[in-house]
Amino acid sequence: MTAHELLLDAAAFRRMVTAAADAVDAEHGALSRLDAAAGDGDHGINLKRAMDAARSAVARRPEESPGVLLGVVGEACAEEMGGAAGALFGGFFAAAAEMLGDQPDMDGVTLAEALSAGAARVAALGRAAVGDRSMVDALAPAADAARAAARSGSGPADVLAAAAAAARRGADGTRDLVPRVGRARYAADHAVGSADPGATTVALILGAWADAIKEERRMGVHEADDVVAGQR
Amino acid sequence: MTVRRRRLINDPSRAVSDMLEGYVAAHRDVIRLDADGNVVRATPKDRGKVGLVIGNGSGHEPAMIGWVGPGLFDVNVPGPVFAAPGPARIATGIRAADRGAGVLLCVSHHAGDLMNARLALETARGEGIDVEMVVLYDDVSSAPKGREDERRGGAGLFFVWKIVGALAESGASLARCRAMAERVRDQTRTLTAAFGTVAHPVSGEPLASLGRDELVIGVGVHGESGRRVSEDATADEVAERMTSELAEDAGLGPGDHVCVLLSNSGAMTLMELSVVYRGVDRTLRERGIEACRSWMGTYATTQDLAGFALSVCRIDDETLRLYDAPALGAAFVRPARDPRPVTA
Repeated sequence: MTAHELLLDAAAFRRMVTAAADAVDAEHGALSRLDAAAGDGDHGINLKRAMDAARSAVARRPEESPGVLLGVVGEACAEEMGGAAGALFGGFFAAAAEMLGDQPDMDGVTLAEALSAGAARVAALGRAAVGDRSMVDALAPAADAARAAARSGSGPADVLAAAAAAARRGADGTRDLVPRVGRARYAADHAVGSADPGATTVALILGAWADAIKEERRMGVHEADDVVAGQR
Repeated sequence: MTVRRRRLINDPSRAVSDMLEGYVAAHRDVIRLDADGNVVRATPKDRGKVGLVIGNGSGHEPAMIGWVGPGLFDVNVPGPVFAAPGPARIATGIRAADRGAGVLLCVSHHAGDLMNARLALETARGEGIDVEMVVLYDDVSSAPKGREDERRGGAGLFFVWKIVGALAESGASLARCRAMAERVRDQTRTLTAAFGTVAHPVSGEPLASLGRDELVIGVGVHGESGRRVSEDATADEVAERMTSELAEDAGLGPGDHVCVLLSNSGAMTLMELSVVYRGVDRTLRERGIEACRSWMGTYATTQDLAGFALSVCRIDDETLRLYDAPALGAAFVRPARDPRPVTA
Protein backbone atom coordinates (compact mmCIF):
# COMPACT_ATOMS: atom_id res chain seq x y z
CA MET A 1 0.00 0.00 0.00
CA THR A 2 1.49 3.30 -1.01
CA ALA A 3 0.65 6.76 0.13
CA HIS A 4 -0.62 7.53 -3.35
CA GLU A 5 -3.18 4.82 -3.45
CA LEU A 6 -6.80 5.72 -3.57
CA LEU A 7 -8.68 5.46 -0.28
CA LEU A 8 -12.38 4.97 -0.19
CA ASP A 9 -13.90 7.84 1.76
CA ALA A 10 -17.46 8.83 2.61
CA ALA A 11 -17.93 10.94 -0.51
CA ALA A 12 -16.90 8.01 -2.70
CA PHE A 13 -19.09 5.69 -0.70
CA ARG A 14 -22.13 7.93 -1.14
CA ARG A 15 -21.59 7.77 -4.90
CA MET A 16 -21.42 3.98 -4.65
CA VAL A 17 -24.76 3.84 -2.85
CA THR A 18 -26.30 6.07 -5.50
CA ALA A 19 -24.81 3.93 -8.26
CA ALA A 20 -26.25 0.78 -6.67
CA ALA A 21 -29.68 2.40 -6.37
CA ASP A 22 -29.50 3.50 -10.02
CA ALA A 23 -28.53 -0.03 -11.07
CA VAL A 24 -31.50 -1.42 -9.13
CA ASP A 25 -33.78 1.16 -10.79
CA ALA A 26 -32.70 -0.22 -14.15
CA GLU A 27 -32.77 -3.90 -13.23
CA HIS A 28 -35.59 -4.33 -10.71
CA GLY A 29 -38.01 -5.70 -13.29
CA ALA A 30 -35.52 -8.37 -14.34
CA LEU A 31 -34.85 -9.26 -10.69
CA SER A 32 -38.57 -9.66 -10.02
CA ARG A 33 -38.91 -11.91 -13.05
CA LEU A 34 -36.06 -14.08 -11.74
CA ASP A 35 -37.84 -14.24 -8.38
CA ALA A 36 -41.10 -15.25 -10.07
CA ALA A 37 -39.53 -18.58 -11.07
CA ALA A 38 -39.78 -19.91 -7.52
CA GLY A 39 -40.92 -17.01 -5.35
CA ASP A 40 -43.42 -14.16 -5.18
CA GLY A 41 -41.91 -12.21 -8.05
CA ASP A 42 -41.53 -9.14 -5.86
CA HIS A 43 -37.82 -9.14 -5.04
CA GLY A 44 -37.05 -6.32 -7.48
CA ILE A 45 -39.82 -4.05 -6.19
CA ASN A 46 -38.85 -4.66 -2.57
CA LEU A 47 -35.19 -4.07 -3.31
CA LYS A 48 -35.96 -0.86 -5.18
CA ARG A 49 -37.96 0.41 -2.21
CA ALA A 50 -34.98 -0.28 0.07
CA MET A 51 -32.38 1.22 -2.26
CA ASP A 52 -34.48 4.35 -2.84
CA ALA A 53 -34.69 4.76 0.94
CA ALA A 54 -30.94 4.13 1.27
CA ARG A 55 -30.12 6.70 -1.40
CA SER A 56 -32.17 9.43 0.32
CA ALA A 57 -30.95 8.50 3.80
CA VAL A 58 -27.31 8.62 2.74
CA ALA A 59 -27.82 11.94 0.95
CA ARG A 60 -29.24 13.40 4.17
CA ARG A 61 -26.07 12.55 6.12
CA PRO A 62 -23.15 14.20 4.35
CA GLU A 63 -20.93 14.25 7.42
CA GLU A 64 -20.88 10.56 8.16
CA SER A 65 -18.12 7.97 7.67
CA PRO A 66 -18.45 5.05 5.22
CA GLY A 67 -19.15 2.67 8.11
CA VAL A 68 -22.01 4.76 9.43
CA LEU A 69 -23.42 5.12 5.92
CA LEU A 70 -23.25 1.36 5.40
CA GLY A 71 -25.21 0.97 8.61
CA VAL A 72 -27.85 3.32 7.23
CA VAL A 73 -28.08 1.24 4.05
CA GLY A 74 -28.46 -1.89 6.20
CA GLU A 75 -31.35 -0.37 8.17
CA ALA A 76 -33.07 0.65 4.94
CA CYS A 77 -32.83 -2.94 3.68
CA ALA A 78 -34.01 -4.57 6.92
CA GLU A 79 -36.98 -2.28 7.46
CA GLU A 80 -38.06 -1.35 3.92
CA MET A 81 -37.71 -4.76 2.28
CA GLY A 82 -38.78 -7.00 5.13
CA GLY A 83 -38.82 -10.75 4.74
CA ALA A 84 -35.77 -12.95 4.46
CA ALA A 85 -34.16 -10.71 1.84
CA GLY A 86 -34.44 -7.68 4.12
CA ALA A 87 -32.86 -9.51 7.04
CA LEU A 88 -30.07 -10.90 4.85
CA PHE A 89 -29.17 -7.74 2.93
CA GLY A 90 -29.62 -5.76 6.14
CA GLY A 91 -27.30 -8.19 7.91
CA PHE A 92 -24.70 -7.94 5.14
CA PHE A 93 -24.46 -4.16 5.33
CA ALA A 94 -24.73 -4.09 9.13
CA ALA A 95 -21.86 -6.56 9.60
CA ALA A 96 -19.68 -4.66 7.14
CA ALA A 97 -20.56 -1.41 8.94
CA GLU A 98 -19.60 -2.85 12.32
CA MET A 99 -16.24 -3.92 10.89
CA LEU A 100 -15.54 -0.41 9.57
CA GLY A 101 -16.68 1.46 12.66
CA ASP A 102 -16.29 5.20 12.12
CA GLN A 103 -12.90 5.29 10.43
CA PRO A 104 -12.98 8.07 7.80
CA ASP A 105 -11.82 5.96 4.87
CA MET A 106 -10.78 2.45 3.96
CA ASP A 107 -7.96 0.79 2.10
CA GLY A 108 -8.17 -2.46 0.16
CA VAL A 109 -7.52 -4.66 3.18
CA THR A 110 -10.22 -3.00 5.29
CA LEU A 111 -12.70 -3.18 2.43
CA ALA A 112 -11.98 -6.90 1.94
CA GLU A 113 -12.46 -7.48 5.67
CA ALA A 114 -15.76 -5.61 5.62
CA LEU A 115 -17.03 -7.64 2.65
CA SER A 116 -15.94 -10.84 4.39
CA ALA A 117 -17.73 -9.88 7.61
CA GLY A 118 -20.87 -9.18 5.59
CA ALA A 119 -20.63 -12.50 3.74
CA ALA A 120 -20.14 -14.39 7.00
CA ARG A 121 -23.18 -12.70 8.58
CA VAL A 122 -25.40 -13.66 5.64
CA ALA A 123 -24.22 -17.28 5.77
CA ALA A 124 -24.92 -17.40 9.52
CA LEU A 125 -28.33 -15.70 9.37
CA GLY A 126 -29.49 -17.78 6.42
CA ARG A 127 -27.75 -20.95 7.62
CA ALA A 128 -26.55 -21.31 4.06
CA ALA A 129 -23.32 -22.55 2.52
CA VAL A 130 -21.85 -22.31 -0.96
CA GLY A 131 -23.84 -24.53 -3.30
CA ASP A 132 -27.19 -24.09 -1.51
CA ARG A 133 -28.32 -21.60 -4.20
CA SER A 134 -28.51 -18.35 -2.29
CA MET A 135 -26.80 -14.97 -1.88
CA VAL A 136 -23.88 -16.88 -0.37
CA ASP A 137 -23.00 -18.31 -3.80
CA ALA A 138 -22.12 -14.78 -4.89
CA LEU A 139 -20.93 -13.34 -1.55
CA ALA A 140 -18.49 -16.06 -0.51
CA PRO A 141 -16.44 -16.05 -3.73
CA ALA A 142 -16.62 -12.24 -3.76
CA ALA A 143 -15.16 -12.08 -0.26
CA ASP A 144 -12.47 -14.63 -1.17
CA ALA A 145 -11.50 -12.67 -4.28
CA ALA A 146 -11.47 -9.40 -2.32
CA ARG A 147 -9.13 -10.81 0.31
CA ALA A 148 -6.84 -12.29 -2.34
CA ALA A 149 -6.67 -8.97 -4.17
CA ALA A 150 -6.02 -7.08 -0.94
CA ARG A 151 -3.27 -9.50 0.04
CA SER A 152 -1.54 -8.86 -3.25
CA GLY A 153 -1.56 -5.16 -2.46
CA SER A 154 -4.57 -3.92 -4.41
CA GLY A 155 -6.36 -0.77 -3.39
CA PRO A 156 -10.15 -0.54 -2.88
CA ALA A 157 -10.94 -0.09 -6.56
CA ASP A 158 -9.20 -3.29 -7.62
CA VAL A 159 -10.45 -5.16 -4.56
CA LEU A 160 -14.01 -4.22 -5.51
CA ALA A 161 -13.46 -5.08 -9.16
CA ALA A 162 -12.20 -8.53 -8.19
CA ALA A 163 -15.12 -9.03 -5.77
CA ALA A 164 -17.67 -7.94 -8.37
CA ALA A 165 -16.27 -10.25 -11.04
CA ALA A 166 -16.29 -13.21 -8.64
CA ALA A 167 -19.83 -12.39 -7.50
CA ARG A 168 -21.01 -12.30 -11.11
CA ARG A 169 -19.46 -15.71 -11.83
CA GLY A 170 -20.98 -17.09 -8.63
CA ALA A 171 -24.43 -15.69 -9.43
CA ASP A 172 -24.34 -17.06 -12.98
CA GLY A 173 -23.35 -20.46 -11.55
CA THR A 174 -26.55 -20.64 -9.47
CA ARG A 175 -28.51 -21.41 -12.66
CA ASP A 176 -27.67 -25.08 -12.34
CA LEU A 177 -28.09 -25.34 -8.57
CA VAL A 178 -31.04 -26.94 -6.82
CA PRO A 179 -32.26 -24.72 -3.95
CA ARG A 180 -31.53 -26.09 -0.49
CA VAL A 181 -32.41 -23.03 1.59
CA GLY A 182 -35.15 -20.42 1.56
CA ARG A 183 -38.58 -20.60 0.04
CA ALA A 184 -37.32 -21.60 -3.41
CA ARG A 185 -36.67 -25.09 -2.09
CA TYR A 186 -40.44 -25.63 -2.05
CA ALA A 187 -40.51 -24.94 -5.78
CA ALA A 188 -37.16 -26.47 -6.63
CA ASP A 189 -38.27 -27.75 -10.03
CA HIS A 190 -39.20 -24.21 -11.09
CA ALA A 191 -36.01 -22.61 -9.83
CA VAL A 192 -33.41 -24.61 -11.73
CA GLY A 193 -32.49 -23.05 -15.07
CA SER A 194 -32.58 -19.42 -13.97
CA ALA A 195 -30.14 -17.65 -11.67
CA ASP A 196 -30.89 -17.13 -7.99
CA PRO A 197 -32.33 -13.61 -7.52
CA GLY A 198 -30.45 -12.97 -4.26
CA ALA A 199 -27.08 -13.93 -5.73
CA THR A 200 -27.86 -11.88 -8.83
CA THR A 201 -28.61 -8.85 -6.66
CA VAL A 202 -25.30 -9.23 -4.84
CA ALA A 203 -23.49 -9.24 -8.20
CA LEU A 204 -25.51 -6.22 -9.35
CA ILE A 205 -24.69 -4.14 -6.26
CA LEU A 206 -21.01 -5.06 -6.12
CA GLY A 207 -20.76 -4.45 -9.86
CA ALA A 208 -22.33 -1.00 -9.49
CA TRP A 209 -19.95 -0.20 -6.64
CA ALA A 210 -16.92 -1.33 -8.63
CA ASP A 211 -17.99 0.70 -11.67
CA ALA A 212 -18.62 3.78 -9.54
CA ILE A 213 -15.12 3.58 -8.07
CA LYS A 214 -13.53 2.86 -11.43
CA GLU A 215 -15.23 5.98 -12.69
CA GLU A 216 -13.89 7.97 -9.73
CA ARG A 217 -10.40 6.77 -10.46
CA ARG A 218 -10.71 7.61 -14.14
CA MET A 219 -11.87 11.10 -13.25
CA GLY A 220 -9.01 11.38 -10.78
CA VAL A 221 -11.40 12.67 -8.15
CA HIS A 222 -9.49 11.27 -5.23
CA GLU A 223 -6.01 10.90 -6.62
CA ALA A 224 -3.50 12.60 -4.43
CA ASP A 225 -1.42 13.27 -7.51
CA ASP A 226 -0.94 11.82 -10.94
CA VAL A 227 0.31 8.46 -9.75
CA VAL A 228 -2.05 5.78 -10.95
CA ALA A 229 -3.55 3.45 -8.42
CA GLY A 230 -2.12 0.51 -10.30
CA GLN A 231 1.23 1.25 -8.68
CA ARG A 232 1.93 -1.45 -6.16
CA MET B 1 -57.13 -20.07 -16.04
CA THR B 2 -56.98 -16.33 -16.21
CA VAL B 3 -55.48 -14.50 -13.29
CA ARG B 4 -57.22 -11.32 -12.19
CA ARG B 5 -54.49 -8.73 -12.27
CA ARG B 6 -56.41 -5.55 -11.63
CA ARG B 7 -57.17 -4.79 -8.02
CA LEU B 8 -59.19 -1.93 -6.64
CA ILE B 9 -56.43 -0.15 -4.77
CA ASN B 10 -55.24 3.44 -4.94
CA ASP B 11 -51.51 3.09 -5.26
CA PRO B 12 -49.66 -0.25 -4.99
CA SER B 13 -47.05 1.26 -2.69
CA ARG B 14 -49.83 2.29 -0.27
CA ALA B 15 -51.92 -0.89 -0.51
CA VAL B 16 -50.91 -2.16 2.94
CA SER B 17 -51.22 1.13 4.81
CA ASP B 18 -54.54 2.00 3.15
CA MET B 19 -55.83 -1.48 3.99
CA LEU B 20 -54.80 -1.16 7.63
CA GLU B 21 -56.45 2.25 7.99
CA GLY B 22 -59.65 0.93 6.50
CA TYR B 23 -59.69 -2.34 8.41
CA VAL B 24 -59.10 -0.68 11.73
CA ALA B 25 -61.72 2.00 10.99
CA ALA B 26 -64.24 -0.76 10.29
CA HIS B 27 -63.44 -2.46 13.60
CA ARG B 28 -62.64 0.45 15.86
CA ASP B 29 -64.47 -1.11 18.78
CA VAL B 30 -61.90 -3.97 18.78
CA ILE B 31 -58.60 -2.74 17.34
CA ARG B 32 -56.61 0.35 16.50
CA LEU B 33 -53.31 1.23 14.82
CA ASP B 34 -50.56 2.44 17.11
CA ALA B 35 -47.90 5.01 16.21
CA ASP B 36 -45.57 2.26 14.95
CA GLY B 37 -48.18 0.93 12.52
CA ASN B 38 -49.02 -2.14 14.62
CA VAL B 39 -52.53 -3.48 15.08
CA VAL B 40 -53.26 -3.40 18.83
CA ARG B 41 -56.29 -4.01 21.01
CA ALA B 42 -58.62 -1.05 21.50
CA THR B 43 -58.56 -1.92 25.20
CA PRO B 44 -55.20 -3.35 26.30
CA LYS B 45 -55.06 -6.59 28.25
CA ASP B 46 -54.86 -6.24 32.05
CA ARG B 47 -51.38 -5.69 33.38
CA GLY B 48 -49.74 -8.79 34.83
CA LYS B 49 -50.73 -11.07 31.97
CA VAL B 50 -48.52 -12.49 29.23
CA GLY B 51 -48.63 -10.55 25.96
CA LEU B 52 -48.88 -12.32 22.61
CA VAL B 53 -47.41 -10.82 19.47
CA ILE B 54 -46.88 -11.99 15.91
CA GLY B 55 -45.42 -10.35 12.82
CA ASN B 56 -46.20 -11.51 9.32
CA GLY B 57 -46.28 -10.47 5.71
CA SER B 58 -49.46 -8.73 4.59
CA GLY B 59 -51.71 -10.09 1.87
CA HIS B 60 -53.06 -13.02 3.91
CA GLU B 61 -55.96 -11.18 5.52
CA PRO B 62 -57.77 -11.68 7.80
CA ALA B 63 -54.50 -13.24 9.08
CA MET B 64 -53.35 -11.83 11.36
CA ILE B 65 -54.91 -8.36 11.66
CA GLY B 66 -58.29 -9.93 12.39
CA TRP B 67 -56.91 -11.97 15.29
CA VAL B 68 -56.07 -9.17 17.68
CA GLY B 69 -58.42 -8.80 20.63
CA PRO B 70 -59.47 -10.37 23.93
CA GLY B 71 -58.63 -14.09 24.00
CA LEU B 72 -56.38 -13.69 20.96
CA PHE B 73 -53.27 -11.61 20.13
CA ASP B 74 -52.31 -8.39 21.85
CA VAL B 75 -50.36 -7.07 18.89
CA ASN B 76 -49.94 -7.88 15.22
CA VAL B 77 -47.03 -6.38 13.26
CA PRO B 78 -48.09 -6.38 9.60
CA GLY B 79 -45.15 -6.34 7.16
CA PRO B 80 -44.97 -5.53 3.46
CA VAL B 81 -46.96 -7.74 1.09
CA PHE B 82 -45.82 -11.36 1.55
CA ALA B 83 -42.70 -10.25 3.46
CA ALA B 84 -42.19 -10.40 7.20
CA PRO B 85 -41.66 -7.06 8.94
CA GLY B 86 -38.06 -6.08 9.74
CA PRO B 87 -36.51 -6.54 13.17
CA ALA B 88 -37.02 -2.95 14.32
CA ARG B 89 -40.73 -3.19 13.51
CA ILE B 90 -41.13 -6.52 15.33
CA ALA B 91 -39.30 -5.04 18.33
CA THR B 92 -41.91 -2.25 18.49
CA GLY B 93 -44.57 -4.96 18.56
CA ILE B 94 -42.86 -6.77 21.45
CA ARG B 95 -42.72 -3.52 23.45
CA ALA B 96 -46.38 -2.83 22.73
CA ALA B 97 -47.38 -6.33 23.88
CA ASP B 98 -45.52 -6.12 27.19
CA ARG B 99 -48.02 -5.98 30.05
CA GLY B 100 -45.42 -6.71 32.72
CA ALA B 101 -45.63 -10.52 32.73
CA GLY B 102 -43.49 -11.31 29.72
CA VAL B 103 -44.18 -11.55 26.00
CA LEU B 104 -44.51 -14.59 23.76
CA LEU B 105 -43.28 -13.81 20.25
CA CYS B 106 -45.04 -16.26 17.94
CA VAL B 107 -43.40 -17.12 14.64
CA SER B 108 -45.04 -18.97 11.78
CA HIS B 109 -42.08 -20.83 10.33
CA HIS B 110 -40.93 -19.09 7.16
CA ALA B 111 -37.33 -18.06 6.55
CA GLY B 112 -37.92 -14.32 6.71
CA ASP B 113 -40.31 -14.45 9.65
CA LEU B 114 -37.80 -16.42 11.67
CA MET B 115 -34.71 -14.37 10.79
CA ASN B 116 -36.38 -11.07 11.56
CA ALA B 117 -37.94 -12.42 14.75
CA ARG B 118 -34.57 -13.68 16.00
CA LEU B 119 -33.04 -10.25 15.51
CA ALA B 120 -35.99 -8.53 17.19
CA LEU B 121 -35.79 -10.95 20.12
CA GLU B 122 -32.16 -9.96 20.66
CA THR B 123 -33.07 -6.27 20.60
CA ALA B 124 -35.99 -6.66 23.03
CA ARG B 125 -34.00 -8.81 25.43
CA GLY B 126 -31.23 -6.23 25.32
CA GLU B 127 -33.80 -3.72 26.59
CA GLY B 128 -34.63 -6.00 29.50
CA ILE B 129 -37.99 -7.26 28.22
CA ASP B 130 -38.83 -10.81 29.30
CA VAL B 131 -39.63 -12.27 25.90
CA GLU B 132 -39.67 -15.83 24.60
CA MET B 133 -39.99 -16.92 21.00
CA VAL B 134 -41.88 -19.97 19.80
CA VAL B 135 -41.52 -21.25 16.23
CA LEU B 136 -44.62 -22.91 14.85
CA TYR B 137 -45.14 -25.18 11.88
CA ASP B 138 -47.79 -27.56 10.61
CA ASP B 139 -47.57 -27.97 6.82
CA VAL B 140 -46.91 -31.66 6.15
CA SER B 141 -46.12 -31.06 2.47
CA SER B 142 -43.06 -28.93 3.25
CA ALA B 143 -40.87 -31.55 4.95
CA PRO B 144 -41.24 -35.27 5.65
CA LYS B 145 -42.32 -36.84 8.90
CA GLY B 146 -39.39 -36.97 11.31
CA ARG B 147 -38.22 -33.52 10.15
CA GLU B 148 -41.25 -31.65 11.50
CA ASP B 149 -39.18 -28.67 12.62
CA GLU B 150 -38.31 -27.94 8.98
CA ARG B 151 -41.97 -27.59 8.07
CA ARG B 152 -43.49 -24.20 7.31
CA GLY B 153 -46.30 -22.55 9.17
CA GLY B 154 -49.81 -22.75 7.76
CA ALA B 155 -53.45 -22.25 8.60
CA GLY B 156 -53.46 -24.93 11.31
CA LEU B 157 -51.63 -22.50 13.56
CA PHE B 158 -55.00 -20.84 14.22
CA PHE B 159 -55.50 -23.64 16.74
CA VAL B 160 -52.33 -22.46 18.49
CA TRP B 161 -53.40 -18.80 18.41
CA LYS B 162 -56.84 -19.60 19.80
CA ILE B 163 -55.71 -21.95 22.56
CA VAL B 164 -52.64 -19.99 23.69
CA GLY B 165 -54.63 -16.76 23.41
CA ALA B 166 -57.13 -18.13 25.91
CA LEU B 167 -54.37 -19.40 28.18
CA ALA B 168 -52.58 -16.04 28.26
CA GLU B 169 -55.91 -14.30 28.96
CA SER B 170 -56.40 -16.61 31.97
CA GLY B 171 -53.20 -15.27 33.55
CA ALA B 172 -50.94 -18.28 32.90
CA SER B 173 -47.17 -17.76 33.04
CA LEU B 174 -44.95 -17.16 30.03
CA ALA B 175 -43.37 -20.62 30.43
CA ARG B 176 -46.81 -22.26 30.39
CA CYS B 177 -47.96 -20.27 27.36
CA ARG B 178 -44.83 -21.23 25.47
CA ALA B 179 -45.14 -24.91 26.40
CA MET B 180 -48.80 -24.90 25.37
CA ALA B 181 -47.96 -23.36 22.00
CA GLU B 182 -45.49 -26.16 21.35
CA ARG B 183 -47.93 -28.79 22.55
CA VAL B 184 -50.72 -27.63 20.25
CA ARG B 185 -48.26 -27.22 17.37
CA ASP B 186 -47.13 -30.82 17.77
CA GLN B 187 -50.75 -32.02 17.52
CA THR B 188 -51.53 -29.92 14.42
CA ARG B 189 -51.17 -30.83 10.76
CA THR B 190 -52.10 -28.92 7.60
CA LEU B 191 -52.29 -29.54 3.88
CA THR B 192 -53.31 -27.04 1.23
CA ALA B 193 -54.69 -27.35 -2.27
CA ALA B 194 -55.19 -24.72 -4.95
CA PHE B 195 -56.12 -24.15 -8.55
CA GLY B 196 -53.73 -21.95 -10.49
CA THR B 197 -52.21 -18.88 -8.94
CA VAL B 198 -52.95 -15.22 -8.18
CA ALA B 199 -51.46 -11.88 -9.07
CA HIS B 200 -49.18 -10.14 -6.60
CA PRO B 201 -51.11 -7.08 -5.42
CA VAL B 202 -48.13 -4.76 -5.89
CA SER B 203 -46.42 -6.08 -9.02
CA GLY B 204 -49.60 -7.35 -10.69
CA GLU B 205 -47.60 -10.39 -11.80
CA PRO B 206 -48.67 -13.99 -11.05
CA LEU B 207 -47.05 -15.68 -8.05
CA ALA B 208 -44.72 -18.58 -8.74
CA SER B 209 -45.03 -20.39 -12.04
CA LEU B 210 -48.17 -22.40 -11.47
CA GLY B 211 -50.96 -20.74 -13.35
CA ARG B 212 -52.43 -23.96 -14.60
CA ASP B 213 -56.09 -24.88 -14.45
CA GLU B 214 -55.47 -27.92 -12.33
CA LEU B 215 -55.58 -28.72 -8.67
CA VAL B 216 -52.25 -28.89 -6.85
CA ILE B 217 -51.94 -30.28 -3.33
CA GLY B 218 -49.23 -28.97 -1.04
CA VAL B 219 -49.26 -25.40 -2.29
CA GLY B 220 -47.56 -22.98 0.12
CA VAL B 221 -49.13 -19.75 1.29
CA HIS B 222 -47.36 -17.96 -1.56
CA GLY B 223 -48.44 -20.39 -4.27
CA GLU B 224 -45.29 -22.51 -4.16
CA SER B 225 -45.73 -25.61 -6.24
CA GLY B 226 -46.89 -28.97 -4.96
CA ARG B 227 -48.23 -32.21 -6.40
CA ARG B 228 -50.75 -32.14 -9.22
CA VAL B 229 -54.03 -33.96 -8.93
CA SER B 230 -55.56 -35.68 -11.93
CA GLU B 231 -58.10 -33.54 -13.74
CA ASP B 232 -61.06 -35.82 -13.11
CA ALA B 233 -60.50 -36.13 -9.33
CA THR B 234 -63.71 -35.43 -7.40
CA ALA B 235 -64.06 -33.35 -4.23
CA ASP B 236 -64.58 -36.59 -2.29
CA GLU B 237 -61.37 -38.05 -3.63
CA VAL B 238 -59.38 -34.90 -2.86
CA ALA B 239 -60.89 -34.67 0.64
CA GLU B 240 -60.23 -38.35 1.34
CA ARG B 241 -56.65 -38.14 0.14
CA MET B 242 -55.81 -35.00 2.13
CA THR B 243 -57.60 -36.11 5.29
CA SER B 244 -55.92 -39.52 5.21
CA GLU B 245 -52.49 -37.97 4.70
CA LEU B 246 -53.02 -35.68 7.69
CA ALA B 247 -54.38 -38.47 9.89
CA GLU B 248 -51.46 -40.72 9.05
CA ASP B 249 -48.86 -38.04 9.60
CA ALA B 250 -50.40 -37.14 12.97
CA GLY B 251 -50.87 -40.78 13.94
CA LEU B 252 -54.60 -40.26 14.43
CA GLY B 253 -56.74 -43.31 14.93
CA PRO B 254 -59.92 -44.64 16.52
CA GLY B 255 -60.87 -42.81 19.69
CA ASP B 256 -58.94 -39.64 18.86
CA HIS B 257 -60.74 -36.30 19.00
CA VAL B 258 -59.80 -33.51 16.65
CA CYS B 259 -60.71 -29.96 15.77
CA VAL B 260 -60.88 -29.33 12.04
CA LEU B 261 -60.19 -26.14 10.12
CA LEU B 262 -61.15 -25.72 6.49
CA SER B 263 -59.84 -22.31 5.50
CA ASN B 264 -60.66 -20.60 2.23
CA SER B 265 -57.48 -19.28 0.57
CA GLY B 266 -59.50 -16.52 -1.06
CA ALA B 267 -61.72 -17.56 -3.97
CA MET B 268 -63.31 -20.90 -3.12
CA THR B 269 -67.09 -20.84 -2.87
CA LEU B 270 -68.81 -21.92 0.31
CA MET B 271 -70.50 -24.54 -1.85
CA GLU B 272 -67.13 -26.07 -2.72
CA LEU B 273 -65.83 -25.80 0.86
CA SER B 274 -68.94 -27.51 2.20
CA VAL B 275 -68.71 -30.30 -0.35
CA VAL B 276 -65.07 -30.82 0.62
CA TYR B 277 -65.92 -30.68 4.32
CA ARG B 278 -68.48 -33.43 3.81
CA GLY B 279 -65.71 -35.63 2.41
CA VAL B 280 -63.36 -34.72 5.27
CA ASP B 281 -65.99 -35.54 7.87
CA ARG B 282 -66.79 -38.84 6.21
CA THR B 283 -63.11 -39.86 6.03
CA LEU B 284 -62.54 -39.00 9.67
CA ARG B 285 -65.58 -41.07 10.71
CA GLU B 286 -64.43 -44.01 8.62
CA ARG B 287 -61.16 -43.88 10.53
CA GLY B 288 -62.92 -43.70 13.89
CA ILE B 289 -61.70 -40.13 14.51
CA GLU B 290 -64.20 -37.72 15.98
CA ALA B 291 -64.29 -34.11 14.78
CA CYS B 292 -65.62 -32.42 17.90
CA ARG B 293 -65.23 -28.80 16.68
CA SER B 294 -64.82 -27.32 13.23
CA TRP B 295 -64.13 -23.98 11.67
CA MET B 296 -65.02 -23.46 8.03
CA GLY B 297 -64.49 -20.05 6.49
CA THR B 298 -61.87 -17.49 5.55
CA TYR B 299 -58.95 -17.55 7.98
CA ALA B 300 -55.69 -17.22 6.07
CA THR B 301 -55.74 -16.20 2.43
CA THR B 302 -53.34 -15.65 -0.42
CA GLN B 303 -55.30 -12.81 -1.97
CA ASP B 304 -57.95 -14.39 -4.23
CA LEU B 305 -56.32 -17.79 -4.60
CA ALA B 306 -58.84 -20.50 -5.48
CA GLY B 307 -57.76 -22.99 -2.86
CA PHE B 308 -58.10 -24.06 0.72
CA ALA B 309 -56.13 -25.28 3.70
CA LEU B 310 -57.26 -28.33 5.64
CA SER B 311 -55.98 -28.65 9.20
CA VAL B 312 -56.58 -31.07 12.04
CA CYS B 313 -55.52 -30.70 15.65
CA ARG B 314 -55.73 -33.54 18.15
CA ILE B 315 -57.55 -32.16 21.15
CA ASP B 316 -58.02 -33.16 24.80
CA ASP B 317 -60.16 -31.81 27.64
CA GLU B 318 -57.67 -29.11 28.62
CA THR B 319 -57.05 -27.80 25.12
CA LEU B 320 -60.73 -28.00 24.22
CA ARG B 321 -61.65 -25.88 27.25
CA LEU B 322 -59.23 -23.20 25.99
CA TYR B 323 -60.49 -23.63 22.42
CA ASP B 324 -64.03 -22.99 23.67
CA ALA B 325 -63.06 -19.93 25.74
CA PRO B 326 -64.48 -16.60 24.58
CA ALA B 327 -62.58 -14.50 22.04
CA LEU B 328 -63.23 -11.24 20.27
CA GLY B 329 -61.20 -10.30 17.21
CA ALA B 330 -62.27 -8.39 14.13
CA ALA B 331 -62.33 -11.65 12.13
CA PHE B 332 -63.01 -14.16 14.87
CA VAL B 333 -65.66 -14.00 17.55
CA ARG B 334 -66.27 -16.79 20.03
CA PRO B 335 -69.06 -16.20 22.52
CA ALA B 336 -68.75 -17.51 26.07
CA ARG B 337 -70.22 -20.99 26.40
CA ASP B 338 -70.35 -23.69 29.04
CA PRO B 339 -67.25 -25.88 28.97
CA ARG B 340 -67.82 -29.38 27.67
CA PRO B 341 -65.31 -32.25 27.63
CA VAL B 342 -64.31 -33.80 24.31
CA THR B 343 -66.56 -36.76 24.90
CA ALA B 344 -69.65 -34.64 25.51
